[in-house]
Amino acid sequence: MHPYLPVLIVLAVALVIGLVMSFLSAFFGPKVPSAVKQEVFECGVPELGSRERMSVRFYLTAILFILFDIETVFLYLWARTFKSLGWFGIVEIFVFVAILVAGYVYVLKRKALEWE
Amino acid sequence: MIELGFFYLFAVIALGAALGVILLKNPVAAAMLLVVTLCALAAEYVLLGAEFSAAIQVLVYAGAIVILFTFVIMLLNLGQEEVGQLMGVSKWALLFSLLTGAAIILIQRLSVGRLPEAALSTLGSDNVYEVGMALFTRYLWPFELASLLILLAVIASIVIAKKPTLPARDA
Amino acid sequence: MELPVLDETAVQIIATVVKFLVVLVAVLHIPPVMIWVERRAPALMQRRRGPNRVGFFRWRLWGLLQTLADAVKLIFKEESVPGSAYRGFFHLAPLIGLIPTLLFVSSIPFGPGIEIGGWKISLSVIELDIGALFILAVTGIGVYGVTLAGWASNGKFSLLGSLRASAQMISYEIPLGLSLIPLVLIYGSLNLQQLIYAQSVVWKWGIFLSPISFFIFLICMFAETNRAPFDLSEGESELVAGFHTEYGSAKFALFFLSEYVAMFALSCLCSVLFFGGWQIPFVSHALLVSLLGVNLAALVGVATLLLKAAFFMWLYVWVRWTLPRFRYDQLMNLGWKFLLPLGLANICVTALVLAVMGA
Repeated sequence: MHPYLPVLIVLAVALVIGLVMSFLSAFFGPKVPSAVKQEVFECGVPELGSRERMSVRFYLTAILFILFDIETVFLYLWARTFKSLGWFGIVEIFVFVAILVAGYVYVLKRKALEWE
Repeated sequence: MIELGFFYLFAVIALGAALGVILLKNPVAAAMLLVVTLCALAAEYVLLGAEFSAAIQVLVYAGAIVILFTFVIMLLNLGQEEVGQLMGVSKWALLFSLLTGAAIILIQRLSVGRLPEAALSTLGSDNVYEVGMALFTRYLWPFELASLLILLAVIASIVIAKKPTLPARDA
Repeated sequence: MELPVLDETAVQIIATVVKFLVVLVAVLHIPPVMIWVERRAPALMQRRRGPNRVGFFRWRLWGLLQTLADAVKLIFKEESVPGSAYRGFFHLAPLIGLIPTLLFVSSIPFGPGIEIGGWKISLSVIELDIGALFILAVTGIGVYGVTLAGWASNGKFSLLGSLRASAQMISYEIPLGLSLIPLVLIYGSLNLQQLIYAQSVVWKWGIFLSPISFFIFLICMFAETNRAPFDLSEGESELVAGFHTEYGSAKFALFFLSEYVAMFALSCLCSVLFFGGWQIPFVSHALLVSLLGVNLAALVGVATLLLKAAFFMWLYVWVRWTLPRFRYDQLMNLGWKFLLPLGLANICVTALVLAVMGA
């Protein structure tokens, strides 16, 4: 059996069962919709909607996440081959990490990670 | 035979979702279909025996990059009418993508037999190990250059997001 | 009666389906029990009684049936969708959150293999050589459930709560990934089952060989599941209920389910990575097999892993009622300015020590 076949099986079974579970209330529950009930929760005041722009820090967090995620992936590759590469691998990865730490220090210096 | 069946299944999913990415008006729906496309591509990689590439595809592309897209969409938080203005496909974009597609097919046709065979056949079952060994010995310089590329991206993203003329001041 | 002849593939496919259904049924029992614990334990700590009424007639069972009653109530509630919501994604979001956590829990090796009728069956539903990376990839996809829920609800509180929660989850995914690397360095594998076999003796357990990894992993465990003290995404006093403000009925229950399944999966993963998985300390598996036979020894293994995981589930509750909530800037600083450098330093030091010892 292909080792990834179970992934597909789990996906399929989970999808079916999840769909059933998420529509349980639609079958069993009452349905008495009303305009007030369908308003978005706003602590009791009339609905204002959510059309406002969010802080740019979320965007910065996401972009830094991508970059460090890629770094993590490279580190995994190195960790797996560490026993064969030995010191050579260590030198390589230390250069790699050092360059990225320079970037990280720049991020800190520009206070891009500051939340208040 | 079964593998071929799965190949076509995932190919159809990937293509269908990719079409959705282009054609749907709702940006978040497009982003989610992009996740589907990328995951279907990851499944194709698995069928090719490249499970490490598949994991990276999901981890970095589907998991990280599209999260950035959704964040940007949510940050801009455009109303329905504003989205409509953005979504019109210009003639130039259409022309450009058609030309690019044609060029890719042309190059592929011309280079049959000239490009080196895909290295997949040499990949053993221990995928991560083999990719790692190749990367850290044969492709040492590209690997170190990659770190410079990431460094550049870090700096660029901060320069764009934080105005350089202002002293570091939080709005 | 003659059984039809089964080949290896058919047996394994059937086994996979059965194993997953067993896991699913087991996992469905976690939220009711855990919610009961989460109500009774703080009551104990704060010298209250906690829920103790619901039961069969005279038998109240310490209020254990309260959560069952709650679950039934949730199913029979009306499903109310906000008028301004994006309906499709509103309905899909709980599912998108649930499925990755189910994939995660399926890739935990719950025990050594068993043998039924001569067929060898492993006790993890999904067993991959890149197990650790698979888990990271799957947790990455799980973030979309939270993001979509908030966006599709189209309300202020939901949107802000989901943005906060997803930013938090992705921020802690990096230290989480970094904390596993020293283990890969030491044991030389990404396959969870092989990691367990590598920790055959107590002093080879991950917690002793890489205690800092354990420290980072433990913090990330709490942050990834948006649990106290990092439950800012649903800080009631400011965000009502965070990303699931607009959800009710069965879909709300699904969010609960995925949260508890994620907690359970991370607890299991923690036991697998740092506490020898299904192995009993000081008792070798070979000895167990010779005493009890393969299948019974495997069951003992499963029980051991569940016991270890139960401790971490209890830790979740314990911490929740002990520590106050962080502020959002503190949370982000902890992840980006403390755990990330610590994780990197941990990797470098581990590699140097290993290289020096090997040379």
